[in-house]
Amino acid sequence: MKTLIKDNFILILLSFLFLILGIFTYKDYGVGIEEHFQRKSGFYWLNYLLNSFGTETIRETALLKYNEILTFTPNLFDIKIFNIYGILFDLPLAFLETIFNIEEPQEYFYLRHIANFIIFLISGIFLYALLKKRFNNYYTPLIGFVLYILTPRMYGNSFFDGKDLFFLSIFTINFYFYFNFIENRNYKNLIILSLFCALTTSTRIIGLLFPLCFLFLLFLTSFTAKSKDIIVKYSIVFIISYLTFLYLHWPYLWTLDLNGVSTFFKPFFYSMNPTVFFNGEFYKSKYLPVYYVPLWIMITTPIYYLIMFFLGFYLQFSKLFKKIITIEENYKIKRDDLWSTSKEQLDVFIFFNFFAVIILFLSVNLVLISGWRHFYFLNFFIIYYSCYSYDHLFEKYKNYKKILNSILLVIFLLTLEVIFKLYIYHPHQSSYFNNLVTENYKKNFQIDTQSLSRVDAIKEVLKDSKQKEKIVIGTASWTPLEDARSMIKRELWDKLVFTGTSNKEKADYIFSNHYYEVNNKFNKKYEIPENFYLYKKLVINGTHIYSLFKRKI
Amino acid sequence: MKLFIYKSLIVIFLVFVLFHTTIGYVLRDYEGKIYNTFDKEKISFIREKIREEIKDGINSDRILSQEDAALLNDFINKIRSEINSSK
Repeated sequence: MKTLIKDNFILILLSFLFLILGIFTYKDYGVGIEEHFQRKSGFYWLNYLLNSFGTETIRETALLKYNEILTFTPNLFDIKIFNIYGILFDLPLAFLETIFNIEEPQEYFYLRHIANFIIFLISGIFLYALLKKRFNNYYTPLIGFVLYILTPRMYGNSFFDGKDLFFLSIFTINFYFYFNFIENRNYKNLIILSLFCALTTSTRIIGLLFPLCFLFLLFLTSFTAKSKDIIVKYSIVFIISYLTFLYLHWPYLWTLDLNGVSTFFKPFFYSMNPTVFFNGEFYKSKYLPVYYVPLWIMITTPIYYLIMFFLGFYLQFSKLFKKIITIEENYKIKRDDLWSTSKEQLDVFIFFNFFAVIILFLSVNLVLISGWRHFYFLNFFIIYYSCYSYDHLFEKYKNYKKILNSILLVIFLLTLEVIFKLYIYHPHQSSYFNNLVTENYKKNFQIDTQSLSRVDAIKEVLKDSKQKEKIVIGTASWTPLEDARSMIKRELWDKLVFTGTSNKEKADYIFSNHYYEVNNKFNKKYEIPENFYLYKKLVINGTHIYSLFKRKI
Repeated sequence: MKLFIYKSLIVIFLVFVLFHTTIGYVLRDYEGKIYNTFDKEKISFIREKIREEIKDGINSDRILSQEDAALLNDFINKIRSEINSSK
C-alpha cells in the first residue's frame, strides 16, 4: 500500500485537487438539455424493476417521482418508444434519489452532476493506469491524466452530460480492461472485459465497435497462435458473456421482439432532422458536410493537443505500416504479425478502434447536432496519441536533461494557458474554442447547444424583477427554458411564467441562446419583437453564450 | 492463406477509402447540396414571398410602369397576330 501511494503520489495529489475543484464548483453548472430525459428514463426503468423486486415504500416513492416528472415535463419523449438508451448512469442515480428521498430538484441534479464528474475522474485514473503500463516514462501517464481531465469541452461537460461524457468515461475504462486481459490472459479478465464491452455498447451503440475490434484482433491472433483452440474458446466465452451482460442490463433488449431483431439498428438512426448552423451555413442535420466532426474537433481542442495527436498518430501509423509490409507466411522466430509485445498489441487495438470509427463515420450518414458531442469519446484517441508523441520525445531526449526539462516546461506553460481558459469560461467550458478561432469566426457556429445558460438567464431575470409578483419569460431559441426551473428554488416557481416561443411580444423578458432548429434567415419564429431591447448578453472570450431581451416600458 | 487474408483486407480497405474520398464524397456533397438547397423551409419562404409580392401588386395603384405596359401590349399583339396569320 505504502509503495502504491509513493509510486503514484502525484496522481493521488492531482486527483484530490481535481476532486476538491469539482466539489467546490459543481453547483455552478446549469441543467443540461438531456438531463430531464435521462432522469425520466432512470425512473421509468427503476419502476419497471421495482414492480418485480422492490419493497412497498421504495416502489411508492419511485412511482411518485416518475409521475411528478410526467407532470412537470410533459413534452419529454416517451421512454417506451425511446428505450434504446442504456440505464447504467440513470438507473443507479434514480435509485439513490429514491432511497435518500431527495425532494429538492436542485439537489437531485447536483447529485447527478457530482456523480458524473467523479466517474469522469475515475476514468482519468484508469487512463493513467493504462498509460503507466504502456509507457515506461514517468511523466507520460501524468501528462495524459492531466490533459484528459483538463480538455476544456470534456471538463465542462463532465458535470452535466450523462450521455456523451459518461460514454467517454466507460470507453476509456474499457481500454484498461482490454490491456489487463492481453497482459494476463485468463477467463476472469476476459469476462471482466466482456462486462465493460457490454456497458460500453449499451451506453452508446457506437461502443459496439469495441467488442467487434476485439474479436477481429483475436481472429488475427489465430494466424500465429500456438493453439487455435484457445482462441476459439476465448471468442466463444467472450461472445456468450458479452451478450449475457448486455441482456442483463439493457432494457432495449428486454423489450425487443422477433420483428425488432431484424430492425435492431433502425431506432438509433431516428432523427428529427433539424437545421444546423455550421461554418456560417445552414444544413439539414442529415446532410451535413463530411468535415463536420473534424472541423469541430479542430476548433474546440487546444492546439498543442492537436499537434501532438497528429504526430503520435503519424508515428503509430508508420510503425504499423512497417509491420504490415514485413508480414511473412512463416516466421523463423515465433512472433505475431502486427505486434511483438502486449504493449504493441494495445497500440494496434487502439489504432483499429480509431479506424473503425472513421470507417463508420464515412460509410454511414450519421445525423449529427450539437457540435461533436456525440463523438466526444474520440478524446480518448486524441489523448492517447498525444501521449504517444510525448513518450517518443522523452525517449529521444532522455539523455539530454536540458532539452527534456525544456519540453516539460513548455507542456506546463501550455497547460497553464488551458487552465486559465477553463477559469475564464467557467461554468461554460462546454462552449470553449481554441486560440485558432477568431471572434468573428465563432459567430459561424452554434454555441450553447446544451442549453446550459438557461439557469443563469433565469437567475438574472429574478435578480432584475425582485418586486414583481409574476414574470413572463419567452424563448427565442430551440430551448425548453421552463426545464431550467429545476435549478431554481421551488418557492420562486409560481413567480415564473414561461410562454415558450409564442406570444413573445407580451412577455417581460425573452431568452435566446441563439440555438435554432430552423434557418432563421427564412423562418422568423425566433425573431425578437420590436418592443424589446437587449438587456444582457453573456460573452466569454469572444464566444456569445446567450442574450436576454427586456420589454421596453 | 494468411497473406491472402491480409492482402484482401488491405485491398478492401483501400477501395473503401478511395471510393469515399472520390465518388462517395462527390455524391454526398451533391446530395447534401440538393437537400439543403431545396429544403421545406426555403420553399415555403419563397412561396410566402411570392404571395406577399402578388398581394402588394394587387394593392398598389399600378403593377407595371406605363412604358412596360405599352411594351407588353405591343409584344402580345404581335404574338396574337402571328398566331392568327397561321390559321
